Amino acid sequence: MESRIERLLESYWEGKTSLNEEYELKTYFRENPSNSEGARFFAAIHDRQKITPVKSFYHPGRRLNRNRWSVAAVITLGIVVAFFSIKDTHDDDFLIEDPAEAYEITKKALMMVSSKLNEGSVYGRELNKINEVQLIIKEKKNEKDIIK
Amino acid sequence: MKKILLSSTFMLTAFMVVAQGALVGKYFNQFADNEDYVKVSISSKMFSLFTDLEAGSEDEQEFLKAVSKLKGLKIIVGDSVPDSKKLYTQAMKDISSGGYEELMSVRDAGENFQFSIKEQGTKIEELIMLVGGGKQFILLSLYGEIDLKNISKIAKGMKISGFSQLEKLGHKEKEEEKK
Repeated sequence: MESRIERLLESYWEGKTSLNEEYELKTYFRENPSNSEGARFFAAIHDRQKITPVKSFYHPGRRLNRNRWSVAAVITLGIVVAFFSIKDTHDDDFLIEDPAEAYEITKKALMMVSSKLNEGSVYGRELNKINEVQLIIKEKKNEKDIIK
Repeated sequence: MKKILLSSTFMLTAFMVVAQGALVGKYFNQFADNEDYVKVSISSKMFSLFTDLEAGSEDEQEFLKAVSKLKGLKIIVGDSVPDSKKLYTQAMKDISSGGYEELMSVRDAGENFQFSIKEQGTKIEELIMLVGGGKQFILLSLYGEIDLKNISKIAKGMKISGFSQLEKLGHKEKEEEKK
């Protein structure tokens, strides 16, 4: 037995022991306390395991998961609240249910949007023309100044 | 994790669909009981019905092409608004704070109008048109997948002033309400 423990301890220091072998070592030294290096090492580990940390320790992965759940819950709650607050409108009161009427209104509305878009483009083109003319006048003026 | 992502994406999509047209919805609420304003909402279901229609003329083809990817329309029109300038300014602020991007703005002696859009990637998902001047106020929201080129072709093809037509719509609805 002693020789087996010595062999196991040697493997342990080399980091070659299995979990079962480590358990065997721990049990042996707990049951047979002595002043040997191995016995003192395993006794120290055993004592350390008994210490309760001042602050509770959580595995980072677990904490991260918990945070994700909290974030997801907050987002979901936010979306649900926003959904119902927006939905709480009078939209349905003004909903056109007759397809023919809806078609006519859509047609007229789109014609209005279309004509305004075109009107805006015309303004844009006119402004471009004015800018171009201003640029030409400026260039001519610069040329005259250079000649003088 | 996949489940969370999936459900969040689903809810976010649902929220975005509801959020479209929310700006005009706010004005619907504000003027819900005010008969001076004509309020109209056209649902996505109705737009899906339009796509089943067969176009007769070329103009109608253009129109149906423009509405084929639309999901909804909301309009609020007031033609006897005493403080239209104030309302116009307020709506401009709401549009700006609502995350819309100004597309074009025209200030005329007679009336002002402004177009703003909300984009999703490279696609325009909502177009807001705001018109104000004199005693008139119009706020219109068009949402879905918007193609400005197709929309601008409608008026060119039909050669009708859409604005005057919509004014008639407002009067027509009011007359019907009075009856």
